[in-house]
Formats: sequence, C-alpha cells, structure tokens
Amino acid sequence: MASRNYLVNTEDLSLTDRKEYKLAAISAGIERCAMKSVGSPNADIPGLESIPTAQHEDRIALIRKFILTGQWPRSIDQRELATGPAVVRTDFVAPTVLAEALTAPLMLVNTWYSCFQAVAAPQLLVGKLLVIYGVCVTTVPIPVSYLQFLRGTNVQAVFDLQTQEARLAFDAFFSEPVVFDPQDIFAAQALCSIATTAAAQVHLHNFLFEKAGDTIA
Amino acid sequence: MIRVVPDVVAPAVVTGVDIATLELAPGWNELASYIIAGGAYIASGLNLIRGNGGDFVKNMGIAALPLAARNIYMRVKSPVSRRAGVGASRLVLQHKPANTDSPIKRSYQEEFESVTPHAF
Repeated sequence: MASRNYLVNTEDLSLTDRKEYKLAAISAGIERCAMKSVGSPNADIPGLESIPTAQHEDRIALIRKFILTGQWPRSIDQRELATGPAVVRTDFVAPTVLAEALTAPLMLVNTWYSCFQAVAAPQLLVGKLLVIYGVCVTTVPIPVSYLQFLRGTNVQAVFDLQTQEARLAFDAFFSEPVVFDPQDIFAAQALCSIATTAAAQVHLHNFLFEKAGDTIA
Repeated sequence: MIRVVPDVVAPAVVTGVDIATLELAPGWNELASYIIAGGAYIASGLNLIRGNGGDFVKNMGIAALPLAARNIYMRVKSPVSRRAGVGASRLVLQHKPANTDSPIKRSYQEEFESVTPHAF
C-alpha cells in the first residue's frame, strides 16, 4: 500500500472520528515505540510480547484494547512536541528560539520555510518519537499553500493547504500520520504564497512519545 | 536442608536475569529463559560441573523452566482474537498478498496503515 496524503478538515470529522483516529495513532505510536526501543511496551502490556513483531495489526489491536481499559504503558510518557528554547523544554538537538509554532519570516513566494523558526532541519533527541497527525494555521489569511515533511532529503508527505482558505477553522487532520523516529533529522516546511516580513503560525498536531520519567514525573 | 548458594542464589540469579532483560532488552527476555533452562539442564545432565557448582547449575535450570514454559505457552496461544470483523473461522487463515505493487519508497511506517478512518 502506498501513502495517501490529503487533509481532512476537522469540521468534517465527528467527535467519534477524531477519537478513533487519535486512539489509532497513539496505538500505532506505541507499537513504533516498541520497535524503536522507546520504553518497553512489550513488558508493560500483557500478552504483547508473545505476538510476533511482523503482526502489526494484531499488536496494535491489543495495544488499543489495553488503552481503552484506561491503562497506559508505564514505561512511556506521551505529550506534545516542545521545540525550545532549551530553558523552557526542547525535544530537538538544536532548539528553536521561541517556544511557539512559528515559521521563519515568509519573504519570498514559492519558497519553502521551516515550521520551526530558524531551525531548518531539526534532529529529534535520543528516545523521542514523534507522530504528527494534523495541522492548524492561525495566521489569516493563510500565507502558505502547501505543507511538506522530509526525512533527510527524502520527501515523506505533502499536503495541500489551499482549500483551508474556504473554512471557518483552519484546522485539519492528515489522511495518515507522519512519523519520525528518535534521532531522525527531518523537516516540516510550508510553501509561501503571500510574501511578507512576518512569520506564520503553523502548528502541527502531534504526539510525542518518550521513556517514562525523562521529563514528566 | 536448604543451602544458600545452590538453593537460594541460583533462583535469584535467574530472576535477576529475567528482570534485567525485561527492563534493558525486552527482545532478549524470552530467548534468555530458553538459554538458561536448556543450558542448565544440559550442563547438569552431562555432569559438566560437579559438587555444589553442579547443584547450582541444576537449580538454575529448575528456576528457569517455568519461565521458559510460560514463554512457550504465550507464543503458542496468542491472546488477540484475529480479524475480529471476520466471522467464519476458516477465513481467519486467509493471508494478505505480499506487497509487491509499489516500487515507490514508502513515505510512512506500516504500523500506521490502519490509522486512517474508513470514513476518510
């Protein structure tokens, strides 16, 4: 199966849709954590270790059932991405200057700008696994037309933001999440469509997984 | 009579290895139980180590056997009901065809294939 990249505006999703999507994304994220040795979900979730790692669907189904009971794997913390600065909190090797979701100033049309201020290609710290599942643009009118994700120089996903102009709330889910593993060097870039000296607020909805106790007690 | 080294320390070592692999390298936990149980029984059966050392090794095997047996049981009996949506048990055995249709490098991880809701 190839990838499917398109946006679904949050207004078009029922609360159940959103809940199901997030639950599925979190379950898949925990499975990814098991593969990448972030925490030890295999030991935390009864029966998970006995399912072969190739059977992702079965493993994720079990993780989903486990979470639905109100439990959570005790070796994993989950929160949202903190870009920086270091004195606040950061999950990047090179943190951003401001603790908010801002692009670099959008000076030139048809140019890609990082969603992480001056940090063009952030690298995730050891033990941080990032699942990005949506986008929210709070700058109006929307000065960017596309959003793309790269791992290294390889394009991972491209989303068209232009239809968001027609919506009341510029907030959308990705058709499927974009995932980055610990220590991945990646990029999230928005394509400028309105030249301005100001930065745009492009917030990426995400789940960040890390070993329990690293940040949150 | 209980002797400290072969009767107490040996099971404690096995438990320690079990916990250590569980915490540090969960992927090795199952294999470690097989290696300890199998290795200790074989070494003990062949009388490779005599005296108290032999009892120590034998007791390691005895302590590791329940762990190994439990791991074999868990491997044989998966707790997940497969393909919950499929009713007939015969259909459970259907396999997915191999993924050979896409020469393009995948842009995402396969764990996330089922995240997209059907409503999308």
